[in-house]
Amino acid sequence: MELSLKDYFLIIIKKWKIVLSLVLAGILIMFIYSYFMEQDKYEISTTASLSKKIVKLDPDQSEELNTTDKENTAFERIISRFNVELTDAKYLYDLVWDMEIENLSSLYNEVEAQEKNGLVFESEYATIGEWAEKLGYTKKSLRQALHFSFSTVSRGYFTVSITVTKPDFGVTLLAAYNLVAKQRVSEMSEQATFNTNVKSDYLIIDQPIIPDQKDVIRPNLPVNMLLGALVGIVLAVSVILIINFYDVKIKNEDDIREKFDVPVIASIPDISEIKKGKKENV
Amino acid sequence: MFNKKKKSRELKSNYPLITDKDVNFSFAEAFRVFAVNLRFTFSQKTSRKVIITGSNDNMGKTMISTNLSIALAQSGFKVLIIDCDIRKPCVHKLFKDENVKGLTHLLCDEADYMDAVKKSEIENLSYITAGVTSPNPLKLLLSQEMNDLLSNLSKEYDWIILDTPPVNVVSDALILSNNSDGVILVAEEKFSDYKEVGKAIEQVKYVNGNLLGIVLNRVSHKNSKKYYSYSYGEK
Repeated sequence: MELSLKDYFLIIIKKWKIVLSLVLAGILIMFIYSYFMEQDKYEISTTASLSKKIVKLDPDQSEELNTTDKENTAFERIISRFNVELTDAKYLYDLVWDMEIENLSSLYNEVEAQEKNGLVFESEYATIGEWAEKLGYTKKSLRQALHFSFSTVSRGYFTVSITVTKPDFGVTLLAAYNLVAKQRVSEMSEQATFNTNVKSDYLIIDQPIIPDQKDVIRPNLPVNMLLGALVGIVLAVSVILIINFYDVKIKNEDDIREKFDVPVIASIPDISEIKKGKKENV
Repeated sequence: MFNKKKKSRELKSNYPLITDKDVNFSFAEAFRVFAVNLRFTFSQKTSRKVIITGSNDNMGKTMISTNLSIALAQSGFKVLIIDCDIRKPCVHKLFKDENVKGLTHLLCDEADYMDAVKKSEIENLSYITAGVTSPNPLKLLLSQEMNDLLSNLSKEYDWIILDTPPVNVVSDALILSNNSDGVILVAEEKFSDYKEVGKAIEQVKYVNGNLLGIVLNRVSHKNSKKYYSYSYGEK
């Protein structure tokens, strides 16, 4: 029996109780989840910039004329290498993962920063990786959770951010990133002229700090409930269509007439049902 | 799980008859309406042979055949019901009789009419039980003796109701359909499926049987009220 879109619509309308039940269930589940189970989230970020540093190989030797362009090009190369290594290089990420939290505070105080908040890192776990695993991250999923963005105006500026339920962890993780990045940048060097090398300094502009209470990302109750309702509708429609597909039993006289074009010559009531107590006014 | 379902269905079919004292009005009325419909279908003829069959087993064919026969007999017609389900005879149970001498005996010339055709307690209603189970029922039903038997009985009875096995299981009903005036299929609400009923209809049409219609059995209380409003005038 070929069914039109209208038939399907009528079938779904006929089973409105299933639709309503699943929509209400979806809303209720999402309400319970959002209200009681979903944790607040914090977006932690840190911003840093790379500054150009010129190193003369031999201070006594005479210099070429107009070296600025060459120095700038060399500095661009450093920025490009840094961008690629920070986002793609596995060994930098591994260094962050294995970093010991105990040493982090003392190492971090040496970091050149515009503002030092005297960050102290404490955790019951030895390394960042151990802490991350306890929070349910894998090495891969944590890497995917990190977001890198580089300023298009001046490519020396970049931001690393992560959204986490434990702000302490986010702060520690990004601080570790700053340390590793600074170490890596200090190793980078590009020759601009025969007597000039360009190096770079890593300057932290915004420290990774716990955001204000007003910036906490709280569960969005109405949106989540709406999402629950939508999932309920989709589920209900699927269930109804599946039931309809597999339900091949004759349900009433109309079914026979519609399907076979054969008259229903008699309709015999179910005597057992009548006996069960569905009394009529006889 | 399925066995349990089947068992409960079997328990349901305790062969209610419209002559039972405690029978429900709606149930009895449904058969009276059925008999009236059938009478109008064959208003021109004086003798009619009607086959009652189903797509599958356990649809309540015998109960419907018997109650239809009773309803016709109560309308003043001479009615004979023949149990043609030689493989699984049941009609004798509804008349609380033994299946000693029946159709197979008549066809094998091992009994005469007087022995095989029995009068029921209901006026105008006689019955022939299936008789002993035959190893080859098809051969018997196809025989000239069966033709002759039905021709002879037609002269004596206004209605002959042939209770036959389901068409999707064996071909007995299809064989008899050419020797009858019409075929009625029994289907059961919520248990018969479209595919099986469709197949049964096709089979009857394929052998050029005159399909009179479908009887829907065990219609839920809600649906039977919807269609016929049995409670009309009962308030």
